[in-house]
Amino acid sequence: MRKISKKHVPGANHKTPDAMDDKMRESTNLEPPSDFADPRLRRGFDPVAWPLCNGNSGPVPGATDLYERRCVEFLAAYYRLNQFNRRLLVARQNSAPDKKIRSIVARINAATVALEKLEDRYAPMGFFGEPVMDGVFYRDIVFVRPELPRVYPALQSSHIAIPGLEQIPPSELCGPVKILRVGDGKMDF
Amino acid sequence: MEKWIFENWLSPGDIVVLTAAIRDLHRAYPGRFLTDVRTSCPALWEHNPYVTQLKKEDAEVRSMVCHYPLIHRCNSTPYHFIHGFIEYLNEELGLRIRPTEFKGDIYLRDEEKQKPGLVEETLGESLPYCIITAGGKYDYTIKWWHRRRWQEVVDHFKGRLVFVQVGEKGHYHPPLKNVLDFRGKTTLRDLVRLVYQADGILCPVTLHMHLAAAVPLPPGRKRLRSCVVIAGGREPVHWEQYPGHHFLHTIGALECCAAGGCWKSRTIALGDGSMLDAPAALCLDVTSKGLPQCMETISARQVWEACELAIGSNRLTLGKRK
Repeated sequence: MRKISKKHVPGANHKTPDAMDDKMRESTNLEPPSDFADPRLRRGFDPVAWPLCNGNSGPVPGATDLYERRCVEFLAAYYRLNQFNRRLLVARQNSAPDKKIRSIVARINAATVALEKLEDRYAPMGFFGEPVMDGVFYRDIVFVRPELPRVYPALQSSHIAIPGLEQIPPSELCGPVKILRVGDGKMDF
Repeated sequence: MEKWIFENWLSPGDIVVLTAAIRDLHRAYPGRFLTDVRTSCPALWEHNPYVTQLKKEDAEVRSMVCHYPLIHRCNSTPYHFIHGFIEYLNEELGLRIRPTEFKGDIYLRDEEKQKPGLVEETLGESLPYCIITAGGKYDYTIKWWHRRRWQEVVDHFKGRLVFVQVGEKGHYHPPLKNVLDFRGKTTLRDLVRLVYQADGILCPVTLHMHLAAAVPLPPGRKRLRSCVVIAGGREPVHWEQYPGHHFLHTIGALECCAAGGCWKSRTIALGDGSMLDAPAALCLDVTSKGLPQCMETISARQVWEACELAIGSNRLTLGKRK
């Protein structure tokens, strides 16, 4: 249902237009934090744990496109989970001490919470990655969409023959705005 | 006999409501009108006995785009959306149509009713199921609830109730676990069939809520089809709620919807150039979880309790269809 609020809602917590402008700017610029570090640029990066992005190798390190940077932020979160999941697998295969296993599980939990926070941050704009699993590993992340299609103002003009319009006297077509109803039994204007 | 083509190119939910107005027009003036429609959803008019094929070129045929300006008074006047198109037709055509039923008017062929449902075809057996719509379009993002909360509700019923997730491809419908995933796989007509067999519907304010009321019930079912609507504070309850629906809302509970629906459009601006990004159309109270406060206020527990009540009221034994 389409209705854009034009009215004042009594009792509503109305913010000043300036505050709303700030809010708008802030939200349209949802992007990775300035201190985000791409794991691929770190020493010891493990390419096997890095998931695919929409079935491909994904954005190159240092990509500047906002959509690609958002993807990389999610991929990094899944990468951490893949790393810890593999460590857990290896630790269990090697019958590692409980303390070590508990420590890895705690890190998996922390990485899961971090991923959920990331999802929460982007939830209002509907951006998220849908993982394709291979056992316990995240092999591919399919992102919902690229940027929303832009809506551009368009200028269109056309000439429409309105039957009956010629019968309106010229004197009625100037001066203050008037609302006229024209009909020919087929269409109403 | 007056020949009219009624037009509307809004969303499917609006078209479902228009079907009610056309039904009531004919009931108020039997034999006076021949009507055809031009809308965004022809599938919703299939088998509708009030639709007669008319040609615009025919000199006797008139056409009119249908609106519902009543919406601008909905916070303060005692009307349902069902009244919207009816009032418009009354005003424009000088009629006195009255609503005759509290629902839209969707028809299924006998064949559609008799053949096994999509869920039965998939699972190989007839189980009670609930349709879940865990998202929506990108235009009115303020209607979205959080996907982990949807998941909590599904998890609560694990092993007891089948959830069928639906949603149009290209819209925001994050995947849920432990559901039958029909996202992007149903045509509008498939959806009508899916609703026909469904025991319940769980959704935000959207098409599925209108279908829950408008699609007829299978033979032998007398109770209203359950529908739990996670509505928040955008729209006034009396404007949207259908009989038997559980409408979870916050109207009157929060500052931003203290006196009625806020009618905002988006939680945050999406930067797509849409007028719905305008400051006046944005939520005034967004929580740290990225939800409008009104949606944050509705907990998963509230929703599953409403579902249990709704499904229980249909006297269904979870896990078996009676």
